[in-house]
Amino acid sequence: MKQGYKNNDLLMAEKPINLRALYDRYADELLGYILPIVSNRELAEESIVKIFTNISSLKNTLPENAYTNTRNWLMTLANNEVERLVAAKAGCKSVVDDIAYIQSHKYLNQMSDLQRRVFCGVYHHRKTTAVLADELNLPEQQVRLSLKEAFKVIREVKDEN
Amino acid sequence: MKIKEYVESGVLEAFVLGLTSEAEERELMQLMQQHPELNSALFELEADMERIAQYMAVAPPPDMFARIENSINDLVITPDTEIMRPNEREWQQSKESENKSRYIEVEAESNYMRIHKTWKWVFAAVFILGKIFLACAIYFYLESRQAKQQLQELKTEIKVLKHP
Repeated sequence: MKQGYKNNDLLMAEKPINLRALYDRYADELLGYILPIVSNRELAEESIVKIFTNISSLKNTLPENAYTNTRNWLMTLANNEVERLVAAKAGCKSVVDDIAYIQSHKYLNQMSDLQRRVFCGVYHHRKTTAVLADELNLPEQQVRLSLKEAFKVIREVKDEN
Repeated sequence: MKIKEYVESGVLEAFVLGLTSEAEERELMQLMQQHPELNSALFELEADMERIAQYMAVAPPPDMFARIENSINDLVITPDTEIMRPNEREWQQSKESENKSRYIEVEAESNYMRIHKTWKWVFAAVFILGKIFLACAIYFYLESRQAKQQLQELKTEIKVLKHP
């Protein structure tokens, strides 16, 4: 892990990857991340199998740089898989346009349209704020502020509970 | 730049999501040394991310890890696996490791081990030979017992003939 602010619990550069521990800790989160994009349980499960199979063929250690933490590293791998499915025209969609999903989601439901577009863009589709700014035709600073506000909403929903 | 303005700019949120540029990351690392409060801010954001990821989590089916293990066992080097590389450097590392050995590394903490498929024929041959040896042993044991009985009968007959 790069000089991060939080020690990585499962993956460290000097420690071999424990695939089972990684799976137990993050498989459900990854499935929850991929499923709203591909909208096909079987395809999403296949993607998870593929991601962990590919992790096992890495050099058995965490990549030393370029990732903030384990979750981001896995989400980047998951996003690679999603992009592969998009390229294969496997019916992937923009999460923010899935009204039923948004309405069933207490955090996303509380966000404004812009906050939601920004949060789903960066979280589900791993787009940078610069790319989103271009897509939404807004200054990048405004996109970042919306992202910050989206995090505030997440925290407020937590506080309410 | 004042630290409050920096925090308000949304760069910390972008960093937690892994979407900052290298220059921004360097700047943040430097600022973290001067302003330890950034650590706790990032820690809180990480906790927020964890909360939302767990909220969105969907339980995988119970057999999924077995499917992953099967997939690993059947792993063949294909161009598909290369597509998944997270970056060029890791790809180089995995490529080097592939070149060194075409076998999958055995995970140190696993209770299972993987062996070459040709061993299944060796195990099958050992099993069949074992059965053949067992059948032979039973056959010769019965033969030997019968021979002993016949010998005993002959001895008895000889005794009877010697001492009528």
